[in-house]
Amino acid sequence: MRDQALQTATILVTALVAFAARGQHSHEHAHPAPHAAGQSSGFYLPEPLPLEPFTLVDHDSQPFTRDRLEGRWTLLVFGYTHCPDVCPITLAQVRDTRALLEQQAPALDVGAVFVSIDPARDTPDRVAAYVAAFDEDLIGVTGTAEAIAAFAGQLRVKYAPTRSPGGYLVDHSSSVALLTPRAELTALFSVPLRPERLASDLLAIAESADGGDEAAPVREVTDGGN
Amino acid sequence: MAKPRDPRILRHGALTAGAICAFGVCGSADAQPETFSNPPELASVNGELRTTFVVVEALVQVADKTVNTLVYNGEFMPPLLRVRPGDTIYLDLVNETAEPTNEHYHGLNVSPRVNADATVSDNVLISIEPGTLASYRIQIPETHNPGLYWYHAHLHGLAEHQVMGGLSGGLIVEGVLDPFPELQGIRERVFLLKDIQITPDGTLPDDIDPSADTNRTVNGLTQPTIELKAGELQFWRFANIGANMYYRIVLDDHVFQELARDGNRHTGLVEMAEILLPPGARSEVLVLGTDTGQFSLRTLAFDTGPEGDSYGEDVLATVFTQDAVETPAPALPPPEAFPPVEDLRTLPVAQSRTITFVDGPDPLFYIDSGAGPVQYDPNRVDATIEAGTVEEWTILNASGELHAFHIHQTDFQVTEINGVPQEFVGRQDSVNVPYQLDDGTPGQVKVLIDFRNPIIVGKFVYHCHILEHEDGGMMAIAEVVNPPGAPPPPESIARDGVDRDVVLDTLAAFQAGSYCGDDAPRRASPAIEALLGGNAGSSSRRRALLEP
Repeated sequence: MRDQALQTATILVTALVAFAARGQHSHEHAHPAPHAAGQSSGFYLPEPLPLEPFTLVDHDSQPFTRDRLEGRWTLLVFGYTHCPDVCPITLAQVRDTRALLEQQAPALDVGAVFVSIDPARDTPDRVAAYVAAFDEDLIGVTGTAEAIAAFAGQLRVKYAPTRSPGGYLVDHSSSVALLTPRAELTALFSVPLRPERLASDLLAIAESADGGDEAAPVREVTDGGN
Repeated sequence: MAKPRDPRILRHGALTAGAICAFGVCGSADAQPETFSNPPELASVNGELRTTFVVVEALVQVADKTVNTLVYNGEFMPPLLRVRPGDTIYLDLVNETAEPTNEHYHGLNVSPRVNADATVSDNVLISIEPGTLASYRIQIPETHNPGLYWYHAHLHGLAEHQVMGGLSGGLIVEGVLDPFPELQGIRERVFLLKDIQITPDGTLPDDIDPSADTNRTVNGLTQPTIELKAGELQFWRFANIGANMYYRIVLDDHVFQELARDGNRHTGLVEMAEILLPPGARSEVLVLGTDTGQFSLRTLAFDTGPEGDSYGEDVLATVFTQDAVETPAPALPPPEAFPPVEDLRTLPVAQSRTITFVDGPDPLFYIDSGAGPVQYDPNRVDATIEAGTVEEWTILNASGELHAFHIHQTDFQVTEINGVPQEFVGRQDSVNVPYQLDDGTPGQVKVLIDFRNPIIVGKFVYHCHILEHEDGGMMAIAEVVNPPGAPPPPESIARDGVDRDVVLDTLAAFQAGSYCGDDAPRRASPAIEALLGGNAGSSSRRRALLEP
């Protein structure tokens, strides 16, 4: 376990170095601040930050790449399946937020993705079992340690293993990211999430984007979406 | 702390001999008493104060000793920031050390959030990692109370060391004497009280014992001399900007007329023979020179309780009262000359809460905000408060030592101490909470806290301002939320537009601030420290700030 932890730490170093360079992102879709600050505590980026391409693996062992984040809004949670507290609580709050949005705005397509920052233990099968406990639509993602570190680095997620009786824990940033349908980071929300407020904020942000230079993506609604 | 200094830092001039000696006697065995001087200053120009603070590990001279510590720009006493209501502070904080830090603008009633342009307001939940920086933009409302405030490092787990080591300074919002024409032009003296413990090795102790021998300084000076003429009225502004210590200030054969507390002008002058200043507190007083002679400005011995700390008596400065002034001192302003202060007792109380300070086994400290005693957790909200309200908090102290309650972003009115109603004289942002009695009755302070300012919507903290206790867990999260359907909190507009590098810096600081771990964020992880050698946090903007 310790070797794994050290390996992860090394990867963290590599990843942070790789993403320390500044101004490397292209930004073809830059536009003025798309939304005012919302009701949820967090960091509302003045303009969306596009994500660079990446290659991870979803819980069905299928490639999970940048295009999988395009076309819908996404709540992105970094964590790990052995997480004792923050991750399960946050995932439950994400589930509740999406449930509220289903009722309030059934046409608004909002997905949720759980990215493991403990790839040494979080195999696709383990992640699959974990995400199924929260939300049938929740996508679990893992990958190589290098790929996870690179992806986390884009969002400046900080994580590192720490010793614990019987194994190790992984300390990590707890904020929940909101990605636009163009796979751009547009906000970070502090935990604990407040589902009602977060749902309201998501609607406001989506409406703001709808009034901007892009159409808010919608999904087909077959049941009336009450 | 152990990381060798980057020689690039020396180019800033912060560590030159002149700078080091600016506040000390540079080791001279024949040192003469220093003459009091106000701290160095930076003042706003055309409504803006723009500056860069580089946090460095440096050798500084304090109290005739050399200490290796973390300071702003190489100075144990960094600049006093002077602004006016309506001004904006633009402060880039560059962390060139091996441990994370951040900054709090203590007492200011300003936003606790990240601004709309990605600059950071008074947000202590971010963490500025080694080798990175954050851009603060503090928009001070036009209606802000003038008075004495201060700034300091506020990262949980490191605050005590960083503040004692030097990461604190003064901040004045000008105008507190504006209502009193007769006081215009009287001499102003600022006393920033900061003590530092120095080991024989020239470092701070790893484990600070607040009762241990220390070096008290006034604006970085040791027992300076002050001139006060007989019959002269001066305006003295005291701030306790140290980590743990209480001050009990007296000036022999003189009394103080307290005009303001914690940046809040009183309803009238309050005469006092001594000023009790818990950590973080400020007192602004008028002093009238009495007779000619020499008088000691002292802090009296003080004990924080049977399970607390003891501070010995010490001379802070020596006051020489020489020639009498030629013209009589102006009359002290009567109560009717003071602008009215709203009495919060006249407003409805939206909610009452009980907050209890609980000591655990050393070094653990807890706050019970209603769900049991817990240590600080940035990923938990301990008090959810509806914006636009006034709340009554009963603060209990169930321990055998004093605690100093402080809340960010707002002020409160003390209404009762140990069951004794308090006369209304104004507001404050910190209050001493008596320790429990021998029979187990907890110490008790009741306060009315004003949460009506719409710009304070967001997350911030309340805590014991004895930083040993705060670092030990005695801090909690308050979140002020708008009622459902209310408009989002007002955001000031960035004059400079959006800087993409600022966005990335704030993103990193925000993520690091939300880092959750058993004891995070304390010392930087080995992985982060290793990064320093790789210049991991460098950016074009940071480099530009560090270039001479």
